[in-house]
Formats: sequence, C-alpha cells, structure tokens
Amino acid sequence: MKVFFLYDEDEPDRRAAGSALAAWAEKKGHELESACASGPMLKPCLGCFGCWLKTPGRCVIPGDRGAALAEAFVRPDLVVLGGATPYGCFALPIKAAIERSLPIQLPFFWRFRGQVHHVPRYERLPRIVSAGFGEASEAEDAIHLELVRAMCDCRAVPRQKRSFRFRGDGEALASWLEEAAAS
Amino acid sequence: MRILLVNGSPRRAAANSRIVLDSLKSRLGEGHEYRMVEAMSRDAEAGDLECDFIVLAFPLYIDCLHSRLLSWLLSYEALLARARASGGARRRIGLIAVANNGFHEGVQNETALRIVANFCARAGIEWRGGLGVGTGEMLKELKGAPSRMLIKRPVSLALDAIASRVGEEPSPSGNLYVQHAFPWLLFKLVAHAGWRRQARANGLGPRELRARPFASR
Repeated sequence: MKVFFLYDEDEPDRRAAGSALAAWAEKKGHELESACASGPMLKPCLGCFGCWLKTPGRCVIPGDRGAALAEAFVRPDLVVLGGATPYGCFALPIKAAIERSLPIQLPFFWRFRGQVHHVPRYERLPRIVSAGFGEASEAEDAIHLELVRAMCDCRAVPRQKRSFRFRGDGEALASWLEEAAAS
Repeated sequence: MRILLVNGSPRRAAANSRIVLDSLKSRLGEGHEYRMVEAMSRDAEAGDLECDFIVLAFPLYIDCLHSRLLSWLLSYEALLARARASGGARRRIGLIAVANNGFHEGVQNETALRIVANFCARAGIEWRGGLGVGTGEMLKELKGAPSRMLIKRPVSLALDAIASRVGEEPSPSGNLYVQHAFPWLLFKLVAHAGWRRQARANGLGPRELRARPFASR
C-alpha cells in the first residue's frame, strides 16, 4: 500500500509521528512518502473553477507545489493528514493544500450517502484520515471528525471511524492506522 | 451599533457572500456604523476590534472555511486576546454567520458553522447562530428578484430571521438551514447544462471535461 503523510509544521511531535509512521510502514511493507505542507509558499485557491472549465483536472495557478499536491491526493492508497485543528478545522497549510486538490473532483453533482456532492474525477481515490496535534476541546475534536468524514463522502471513500490525537504514542498511532487501512 | 461585515469569499465583490452581506445590511438599516472587511486580502487589524457585532458571510470551501478566512479568524482571536490582556475595554461582541454552498442542501454548511461557533468560544465572542444556504449560485441569479418570489422566499425569510439576531439583547444561537424552492433534479439539470456550456465556450468537449491527468499509466 502507498501511504502519503502530509503534516502542517516541522515540529518535534510531527517528526516523532513521522518516525512512528515510517516504522509502521516498514513493518507492514507499505511505501511511505511524507511532506510538510508549510514548506515553500502555496498560493491560495482562487475559486476560479479553472481546474474544471479551462484545464480540467489541473489547477491553473502556476509556479508553486499546488499541482504536485493535487496529484498526491490521487495516487496513494491512503492519505494521512497531521496537524493542529484550530476550531476543529484543519491547520492552515493543510487546508490550503486540500483546497488546491479541488481538481480531483468534477463539477457535476451526484447523490452519495444521502447528500449531494461533486462527482470524483477518478474511479478510485485514496482513503483519507486526519490525526490531530496539540490541544483541542472535545467540541473541536468532534467537529474535526465530522469534517474529515464529510471529505471522505466527497471522495466516495470509507469514512474515518474515530478521532485521533497524537500524544507521543507511536503504537497508538500505528493501531489507529491499522483500523483505517482495514476499512 | 458598530457592525463589522466580513466577506470570506475569494471572489470578493463578485461573490454570493457579498450579496448576502448587502442583503443583511439592507435589513439592518442605515442606523448603524458599518465597516467592510475582505478577509481574502488581509489578516485582522486593530480597527476590526472596534465593533459591537460581526456579520460573517462565506462560501463552503471543501466542506468548511477557505484557508484565508481561517487565517483571518485566527488573527482576530489573537488580536482580541492581546487587546483584552493589555486592559482594553472588555466589550461584548456578538457574531452571526451565513455560509452558502453550491450543493442543493443548506444543511451541508453545518460543520462550517460549528467551526465558527468554536472560534467564538475560543475568542470570547457571543455566538448568535448561523444560517446555511444551499443552492448558493441562485443567490446571484435571483439577486434582483422580489424577496417574496416563490423560489426565493425560503431564503428571504431565513435572512430576515438571522438578521433579527443582530442586536445587544441575547437571541437564539441555533442554526438555520435553507435552500431555494427549486427541485433537486431540476437544479442538477440546470447546473450540469451550465458547466457544459462554460466548458464549450473554452473549447472543451465532454471527453476533455472529464480528463484524468493523474490516472495510473
């Protein structure tokens, strides 16, 4: 299985999680790629619909990592997001990266799991899970899980089963990832 | 009251969120002092703290807020905390939010509105509730239509209700969800025809529209 770990900041706890992920991937025979979302500046999504109506499947904004990040949301089997969860949302760099992955959807609508969504552009998209870092309230954790599940519905992939917040325990992270991989 | 109108859309003046803000402003009337903020352009400034109420409007962006709007909220929380810590007057600030999306159901804005409610809890701002509007693109199409027009009426009434929460007195803080009175299948037909028409204008046929540049070789 190909796994892509996208984290928000180059901080000790994210590096510790990355090491735990790498150990898990090696043990299970998975291929792991990691990237920090707050590296070179990512221009914000313009909401221009160019990725739907001008250069279908590709973002029109030139000169940054946006296109490469969109591809990283297609090719793996599992995407693991890791970062702070301000107000229950994604960390800023992670959210900016997710927005630039809009090209992986089509403009057309369909109903999936009882709600209207954009049709995924590809037959199969990776499962997606998000691990929280730092502190958060229960309300923020609850909303973050709902947000990730909504993203899973948009991509027509299995939903993340439960919240996870990394507190330095590599085994807990591995166990949570096993659940995600098995779903 | 001093009212801060915050536009959280990357389309700025051309946004449906701007239509919402103008619509709420007309409901609130001229007896207030208004300050307009384009959250895409800058983070919060000291002048943004000089308000009694915040009216926030934004589009649903991949199931929640655009990252630039999130940045504005984070900067506002930090600025407000510093002002209060340095002995600035601990004024009460209230907030309502209106989220709109391009899907059919207004309820798909729920998660985004709860994120804004969490921002209020963190920042010490009074959350007075939100409105989630589905069929958001119809806001633009029906901008000049009378409020009581059948298709527009549910959204007009919901805007009346959320606008009534702006004030000094405590008000309900639950969320409202609404969409234009336009059947889902017809909405889908019209939307799909619109996408195809715009694509044709850019020289794209049906196959090109569905291109998969990252498909496995």
